[in-house]
Amino acid sequence: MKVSREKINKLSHVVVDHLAQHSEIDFIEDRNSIRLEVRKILEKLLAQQDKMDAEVRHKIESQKRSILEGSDEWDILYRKYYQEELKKLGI
Amino acid sequence: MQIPREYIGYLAREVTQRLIAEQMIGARDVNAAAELVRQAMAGEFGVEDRINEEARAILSQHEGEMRRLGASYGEAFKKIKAELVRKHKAVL
Repeated sequence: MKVSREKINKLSHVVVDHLAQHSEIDFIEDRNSIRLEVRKILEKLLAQQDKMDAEVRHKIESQKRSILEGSDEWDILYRKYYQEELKKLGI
Repeated sequence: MQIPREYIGYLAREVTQRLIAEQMIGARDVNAAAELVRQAMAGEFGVEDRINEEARAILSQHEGEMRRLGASYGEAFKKIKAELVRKHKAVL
């Protein structure tokens, strides 16, 4: 599922706010620069996640018989194909 | 919103490693830093699930009344969820 720009923005704030609470993390750059970098990284990686999700859904839809999204079988196949995509990324 | 747990872990590690590589943050323990990032992300990605649970709990308290009134569960769920999103100032 596509993550909205608003959500990515919120994530970047939450990550930086959380890191700022921990003294073992040194902020070398200013907080907003760090937040903007987090946002940039998340935009790129979540776009990659969207592609993986689309690829997995395509594989399920390409099955010989129709499998309903939300069914147990669909969920099992989604996890299986998703794990294959993660392996390609070395995760 | 369903971002698989493993991918959240991957996001956290990538964000942490890149921030350190670009000398934007410093951390003696990179794994510990990545775990902090993961916690923050998992919390934020989980917001919608927690709101859905809260909405379902509210609806289950009024199940009898809803049945008596012939109210639509789906419509009631949407309204309660929207209210909870406003209440918690959530971003879905």
